[in-house]
Amino acid sequence: MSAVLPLGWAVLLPVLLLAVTWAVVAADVLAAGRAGGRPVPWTVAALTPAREALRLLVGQRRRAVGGDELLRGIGGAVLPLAALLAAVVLPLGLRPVADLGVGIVWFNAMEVFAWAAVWLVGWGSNSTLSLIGGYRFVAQGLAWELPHMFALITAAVGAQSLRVTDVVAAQQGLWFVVIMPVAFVAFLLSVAAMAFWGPFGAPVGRDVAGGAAAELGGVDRLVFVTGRWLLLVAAAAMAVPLFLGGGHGPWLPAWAWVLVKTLAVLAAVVALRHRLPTIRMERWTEFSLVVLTPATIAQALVVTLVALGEGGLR
Amino acid sequence: MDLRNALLRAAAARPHVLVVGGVGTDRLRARVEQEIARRRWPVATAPADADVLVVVGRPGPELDPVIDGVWAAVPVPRSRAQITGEDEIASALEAAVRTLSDLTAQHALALRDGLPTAHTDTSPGEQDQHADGHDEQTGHDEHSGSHHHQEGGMELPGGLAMADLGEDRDGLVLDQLHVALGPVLPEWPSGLVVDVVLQGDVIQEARSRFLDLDLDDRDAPECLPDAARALDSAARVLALVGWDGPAARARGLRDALLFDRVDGSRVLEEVDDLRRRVRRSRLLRWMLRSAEAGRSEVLETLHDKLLSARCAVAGAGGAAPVAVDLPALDSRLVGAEFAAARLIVAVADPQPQPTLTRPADRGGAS
Repeated sequence: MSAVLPLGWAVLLPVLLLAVTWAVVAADVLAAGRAGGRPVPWTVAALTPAREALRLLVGQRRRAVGGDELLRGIGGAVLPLAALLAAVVLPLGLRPVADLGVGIVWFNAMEVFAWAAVWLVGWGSNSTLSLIGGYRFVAQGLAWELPHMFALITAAVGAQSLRVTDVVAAQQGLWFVVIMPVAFVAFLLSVAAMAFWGPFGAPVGRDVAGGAAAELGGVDRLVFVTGRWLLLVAAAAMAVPLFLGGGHGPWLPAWAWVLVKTLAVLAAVVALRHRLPTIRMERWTEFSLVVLTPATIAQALVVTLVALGEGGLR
Repeated sequence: MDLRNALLRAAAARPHVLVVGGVGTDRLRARVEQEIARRRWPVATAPADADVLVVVGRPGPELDPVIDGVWAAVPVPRSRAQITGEDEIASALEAAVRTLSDLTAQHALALRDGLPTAHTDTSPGEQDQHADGHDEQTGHDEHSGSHHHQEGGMELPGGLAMADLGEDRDGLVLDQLHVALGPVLPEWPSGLVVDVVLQGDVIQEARSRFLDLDLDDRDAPECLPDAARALDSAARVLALVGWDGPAARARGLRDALLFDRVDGSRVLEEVDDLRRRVRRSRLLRWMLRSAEAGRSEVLETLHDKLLSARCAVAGAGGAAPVAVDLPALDSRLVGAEFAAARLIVAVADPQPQPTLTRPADRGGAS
């Protein structure tokens, strides 16, 4: 069970992630068209990610006036790298690319890089609106990180291991979403918040003219936007091994179950996104600290008590 | 060469468009936005995100340098279109796409380094999309002694101004930044500029004005009919709260009322549907309602706008939108956070009202 995928998968992983990201972006275009009352044919939607990428590839890079190029460059590059490194512990089937003993902590640590990334891009652009976008993401990060960590810890307690493959193995009979629904919901919310996407898109919102990304052009914007989508995909995919039984399921092979479940989570997230307005940071912080954090702590407590009752922590 | 041409052509298939218009171009602008939406082209959020810059109407002497600054910030491949009449829209947009995919034209347009040519004769921060030629800020500078102008010694690279220091609402001494919001911002009233003093993202001082208001050669600026104007403004508010679907629907209804001689009952049905959705959204209510002044007002005004649109469509001739004058807007903006300020401007939807024509406006509301 603890076996790791062959090394070649390290190369395949980004390709897989990008393929799923492509599908998600296309689905998002479709959903946006439907929500706006101007449906987009699926052939057009399927090509849109490629068109947008090409548009940004041929586009000129911009240097912000008086900006800090180094910080901005680092910030932009960190985003997709963090997503890729977080995805390393994702079991594709039953085995991940790297089966770290502290996989869950690793995953969380990689996501937190997004804080630095967005802030650096917002700061390095030397523009008021970008800076406001950066501020917003830091505030948002403070709000989502606590419930997010408690959600991760709850899954780890349920399996009594920080190793992601152990968490999957522990769900052979019962998916964790059944015994820890609050943690699952908190995890999904923080997934969108961490990718500053959908209802949590204020850091790159329209009101601040693109926020942290306002001054990015050409390939810089491509890397930033792709990194954001990759983060969303990687984090949503993590919900599968943590709460939805990973590769376990009847009839289909493990990898197919992982793919199906990941796509289902992403489809639900995309469909929900277009029904909701953007959440303001000050309201979200309040909700997160007053409601969500205590709820996830209570959830962790319940799961811990159950684990103790079933024969104690190892 | 062939490959580069092919790439440019493919990239130009879905250009992002930035629409800029001065005071009184609302109708033409709506028509341009409709055409862009019909082609499924995205509307750019900022100059950096744009491929095509569409200038609606004839910009006056104040708006013109701002547009040049915006143009300088649009990355290549890019193209610029000037649209002064409804019949020009389709051909202008097609010409813009042709320019986008024309390699030699783009070579000529390319800027070295990707930097806009610095230092023209306007004010500091001229390259920035939200800055414009405006010299009156010196009045705010006295308390700190720093000097913002290009002649001053405090100039930073790119002609940007240093931040001042000032007391914030908690009594701390923090940086103050002088920024001009508009006239090129997403979901922003045409031709409006608000000069603000920002601390963090809290507005400390605000002074709003319209660009090119005192032009004599312009006869009464073309106004949208009440229903369309209410829908336009509601669409802006919805887009600012990040609810893109209903925002696009409101805009589609505005366009249907303005240009597509459609069946009134169908529009009425859809307006009602939109009102229901807005009214039912708990999240929206939770977002907009808070102890802060101005917030619940935003939601009420949004409801009112949709209701007045409905009444106007139904022919009941609902209450004409209450005009907000600029000093009232300024006083509302002071103390607001940036996100709240954007909503306040969007719901206020100030219209330029030269003092002479004000009585006529009252009577002529239809």
